[in-house]
Amino acid sequence: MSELTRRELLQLLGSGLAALQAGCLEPAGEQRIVPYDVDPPEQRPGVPVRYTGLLARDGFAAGVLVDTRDGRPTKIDGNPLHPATRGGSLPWMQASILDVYDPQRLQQARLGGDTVTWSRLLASLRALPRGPVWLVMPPQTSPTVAALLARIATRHDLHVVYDAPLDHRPAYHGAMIAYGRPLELQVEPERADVIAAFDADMLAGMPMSAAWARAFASRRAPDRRMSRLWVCEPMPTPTGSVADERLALPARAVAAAVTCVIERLGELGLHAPTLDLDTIEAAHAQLDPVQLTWTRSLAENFAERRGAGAVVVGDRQPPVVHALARWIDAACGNVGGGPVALTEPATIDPLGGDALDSLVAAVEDGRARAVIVLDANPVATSLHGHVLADALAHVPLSLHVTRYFDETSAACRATAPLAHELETWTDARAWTGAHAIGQPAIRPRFDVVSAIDALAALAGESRGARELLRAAFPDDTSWRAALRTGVVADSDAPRVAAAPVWPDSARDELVRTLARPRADGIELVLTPSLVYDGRHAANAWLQELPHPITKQTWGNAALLGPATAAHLGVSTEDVLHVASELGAIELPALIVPGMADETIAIELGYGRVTPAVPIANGVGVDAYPLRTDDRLYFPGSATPTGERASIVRTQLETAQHGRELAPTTTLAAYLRDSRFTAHLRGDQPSLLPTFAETSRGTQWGMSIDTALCTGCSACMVACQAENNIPTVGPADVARGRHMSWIRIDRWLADDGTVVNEPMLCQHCEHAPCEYVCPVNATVHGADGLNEQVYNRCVGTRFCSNNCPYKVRRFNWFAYEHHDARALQYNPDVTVRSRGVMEKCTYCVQRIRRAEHRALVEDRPIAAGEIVTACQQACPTTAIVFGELHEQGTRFAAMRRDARRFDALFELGTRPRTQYLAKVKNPRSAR
Amino acid sequence: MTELARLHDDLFARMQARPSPRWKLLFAITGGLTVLLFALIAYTFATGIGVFGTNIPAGWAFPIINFVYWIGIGHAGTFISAILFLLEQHNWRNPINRLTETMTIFAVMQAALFPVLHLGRPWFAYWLFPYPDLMAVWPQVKSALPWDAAAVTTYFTVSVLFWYLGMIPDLASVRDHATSRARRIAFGIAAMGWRGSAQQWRHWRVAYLMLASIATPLVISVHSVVSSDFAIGLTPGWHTTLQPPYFVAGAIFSGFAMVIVLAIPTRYFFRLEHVITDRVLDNCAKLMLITGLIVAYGYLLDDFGAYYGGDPAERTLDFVYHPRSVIFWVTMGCNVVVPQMFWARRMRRNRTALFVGSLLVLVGMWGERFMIIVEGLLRDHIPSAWGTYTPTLVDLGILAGTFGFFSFLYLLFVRFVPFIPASELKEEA
Repeated sequence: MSELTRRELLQLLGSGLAALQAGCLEPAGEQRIVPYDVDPPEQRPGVPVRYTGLLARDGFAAGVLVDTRDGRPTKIDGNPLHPATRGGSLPWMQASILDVYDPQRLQQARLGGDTVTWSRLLASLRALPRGPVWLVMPPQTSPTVAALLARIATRHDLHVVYDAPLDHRPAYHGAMIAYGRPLELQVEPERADVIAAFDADMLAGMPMSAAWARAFASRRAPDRRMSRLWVCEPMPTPTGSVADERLALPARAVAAAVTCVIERLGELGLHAPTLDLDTIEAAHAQLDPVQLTWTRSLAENFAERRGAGAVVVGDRQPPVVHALARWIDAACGNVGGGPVALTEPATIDPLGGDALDSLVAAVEDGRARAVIVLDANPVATSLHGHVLADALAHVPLSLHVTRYFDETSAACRATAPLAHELETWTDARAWTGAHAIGQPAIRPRFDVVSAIDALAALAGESRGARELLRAAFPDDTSWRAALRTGVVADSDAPRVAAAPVWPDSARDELVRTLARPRADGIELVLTPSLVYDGRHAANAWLQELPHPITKQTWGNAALLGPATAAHLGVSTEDVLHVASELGAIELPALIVPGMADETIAIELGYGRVTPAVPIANGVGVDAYPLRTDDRLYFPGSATPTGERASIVRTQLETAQHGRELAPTTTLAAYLRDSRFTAHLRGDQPSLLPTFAETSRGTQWGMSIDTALCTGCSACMVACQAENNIPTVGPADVARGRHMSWIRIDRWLADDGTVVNEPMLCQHCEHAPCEYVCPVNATVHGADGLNEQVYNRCVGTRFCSNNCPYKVRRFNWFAYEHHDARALQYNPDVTVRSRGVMEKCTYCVQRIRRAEHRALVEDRPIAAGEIVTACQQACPTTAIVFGELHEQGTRFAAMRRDARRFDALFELGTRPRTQYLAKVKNPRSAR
Repeated sequence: MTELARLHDDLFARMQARPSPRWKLLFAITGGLTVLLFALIAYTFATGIGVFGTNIPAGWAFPIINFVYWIGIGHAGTFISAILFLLEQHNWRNPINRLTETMTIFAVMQAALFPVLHLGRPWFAYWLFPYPDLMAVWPQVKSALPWDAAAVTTYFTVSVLFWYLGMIPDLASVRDHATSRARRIAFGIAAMGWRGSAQQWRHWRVAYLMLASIATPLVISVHSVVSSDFAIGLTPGWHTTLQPPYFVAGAIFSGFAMVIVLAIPTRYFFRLEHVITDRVLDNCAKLMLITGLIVAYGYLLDDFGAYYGGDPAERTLDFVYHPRSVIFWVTMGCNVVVPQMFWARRMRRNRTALFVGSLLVLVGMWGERFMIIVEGLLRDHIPSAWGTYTPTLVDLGILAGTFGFFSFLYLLFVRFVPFIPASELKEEA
């Protein structure tokens, strides 16, 4: 953990005060301090003001709402009106708020050894002599950026490299094969009876995941409308954990699986490409009989549900698999009127741009005089990073515009700080094409500019980002509406009607893909992580967030299945020497049931070399050197080195050991008899007051549907942001001292069924923690909350010992002194000091705020008015908070749902948090 | 008369003598450990109890183990001085009575460090006591921890009074035989004007008998209350009515082991074999064997309860986790197997066997507390929270420090206080 020195802290506080006084809606200019004797209408001390905002990853926008308090943004949530989030969010969005206040950020532009101001840099960019200019940046969707690029191209010989280590282009290439042009796949999971995800973490790992997850969840009630999710993937993902039918398959064999689906659709008389016998044989050769049956069953299911299916393929898969997937949808009539549609992509120039290799060549030829790397880190992530680093060092002007001084910064002659999305005006399109404007929620704390500002300077433009964005709107009304709602009205990309083709070139490509020699050894699969491709590696919340599957924090590991591990003779924490044709790394093995055989998956984004960014520096192992080309899976080898290395995990045991913590059943069985959890709820003999006696007046409770939880962990980060929860660092996590108030227990049954069970304070009516506290520090509130009184707690930890759910967290040290996030803190929540116990409060500050509001407005609290932070973040709406006497709400329905059960019911704790058991909908079950 | 004179010489001559080099060496070692103990306590206070290995799920570990362990050690002292007094076992009680009472007090002093030290905010430890408070907030008496605070303070107070009262005639005797003025004044004050008149003796006997009667139930109650810290909890391995008798037996068991471990070198160095006779040690060994058997029966009953109760958490702990745990087998070996050798009179009369066997029992009883406290927490009801526990150097340092501090105090005691109750022995003679 980085520690703030006193001086840095004062600087931080000072800048925060400046931001507070300056306000944030007005553009830079006159600096006026406004006294609070007459409150500005939207600023009331202590009352959060909510603004729409925008985050983007590889161009794709995620519309968010930003809570600001006294000028400080403190919390990010999904914008219900934005098509990419629909109110939900993902961990990286939640965690982005921390970056705003990150003291590790690059704070000062440097040219050579000298510090410079951005205004000087912008001036020199404006005055850049005409000539070849290379831009390296992530894929873009912003129309403003597109316009600026066009203008730059008129002044300079412009070359743009769209650099994304986790490239979405295979999907566009797939569309090229099927439709002759790059088209984006739009899915409406709420309208799909059957969904197939091939190597695609569509519910947690893709730009549309938050929205898709919410739509998917709407069809997961265990009734006759319940959808069925087929997942075929090389490694377990959150999406795989809610699959009804899951097949673990090496990434290279996914093409064979899709081919077999096409084959079966053809047999069933649907209009699918006719495959020749060799292709079919090659595909069959890659699958065993069980896998083959699985693919045929999938095809039959899609054929039964014609017009109500959707196929999603992950970006890791080659274009031809994407093309075949489009064919499945077309053959089953899912496109046009069904859950699937096609649109022009939001991405600018989706298949265009230069390659990094041509940049290197240009530098070597002396043709590149200016290289500007904008918000990308190609030295760390590209195939030949060190070559690129050498090249950058030889360019007369190499400028890295970045939020963190990273590997690429070290190679460039000049570095300049880039603004956070919440600090500037920005715009971007969502996957659906919907255009949104991002407005700043805080005045920048350092001398930073946005990407638009930098590009505008290069285009010789003198207007700032706000003017440029505003100019695209005809009037103030539409501009203000776009800002208020966070999305420009009716800006979704229009749907395109296109019929797929199956050219000979595609057939040849499929043959080549299938004929790729079936490697005898290991297949290595590289995969994005919670820190994505490494760009979030500076974020302590994401580093410490347990991985949804492995529960690993602070690093990565070689993930492999039990069979592969047995074959290699390794167990968890044995160090493996993993090698590909081009590179080799050493990292500990971690056995994960549900991995495809002979597959080792390694997460990207770790092992960074960033001395200036201590949180990211040297955490985990860098897997980029393993790559042999653009692909993210390839043959490799693994041998144990005989050494051991520790893996920091927060959950070591996934079996239930005879407890009924996560009951499951199948839809068929459930429809026959829904009482499978009846023995896990209700009253038990007790001398204590009955439920009727304890439930008078307002009584809070929570219901969590384990059928919906994907384990994505957005709730955990949301809770961390809302409740001022500290991070403790890898050493303390390894000791069992992580502080999350909510965790997601992952239960794994022998048949591979996964139940993700968010575990937080259950607010037991007969709370075991309360009677053992010697000093009345944990007591029961009249409204059913189990309350923790921090200033009364002496820290005996008896309550934690006695909590059967183990949801209490202890401040072993003065963690708050290590936290650089003082400005992000939620002022409504006490920052806990050393030596006291803490735990989930059901977001009591939100309850109290609602109570005060209702009191002032002289009305009862409305049903559903109070939303806890975890509930608000949850993309699948698995978590619902409410009042036990509510009528007619979803919460009320959940309290009567036949699937409800109490965790550890046999202990008689009478938890207020109730779970709904998972019902799976496998095709095989009758 | 010669017998009495010899006893007299033996007891007091050494207290007047200059310390031997061997004593000085031991004094330096134990003094060093004592310094270490207090340095580590200061470090913990300044930094936070994160310096311990304690975690979630193992919210209690070394500090509470040490607390229970040291409290247990104390029990044999009170058992000997109070219960054996009431049962009129004077002939073998009296020679070791003072020694064991002192052991009790020093052991309770070690134990008393931990309930304070292990708190997240130790400076508020007094909140566990019902003190007059403007906020009118009293301890929450459904919790066993205020019971603990009351039980341990009562125990310590009564033990100190009992110990001191019993020592008054001997302190007067030291005063009378003192060779220097300073000693005469110091012991004169300590003797509180004891002159040995018949009336004083009569009052003394009544007071002593009363204190013995008060101390006797404490032998049972203190460790019963300590065991409630666990018995009232839900944690597997804790939640059983078996705990109080099992804890009391274990306490006396380990206490007798400590008595033997202290008595053997003491009588050797002070050449008191004729006072602390083989018969005394033999009787201690017999009691160790009996309490050891009760403890073993406790283990059996615990397993039976886990099996018969059918709770999956209890069963997992007893039948899956324990058989794989090293600590469990160490405990079983030391506490169940080792004491069986004391069925043989030959072993009970063998100094080496007694000493080594008792040391192993001391190890085993520490292991038992680890097993009960930590392993139950590590295999609690919800398997997703199962964890691991590793002590830190601070944990080990503090444990070593308490042994050092205990020995340090004991060394001072044998130098400056009449550690054989001469008056009672003389009375008996």
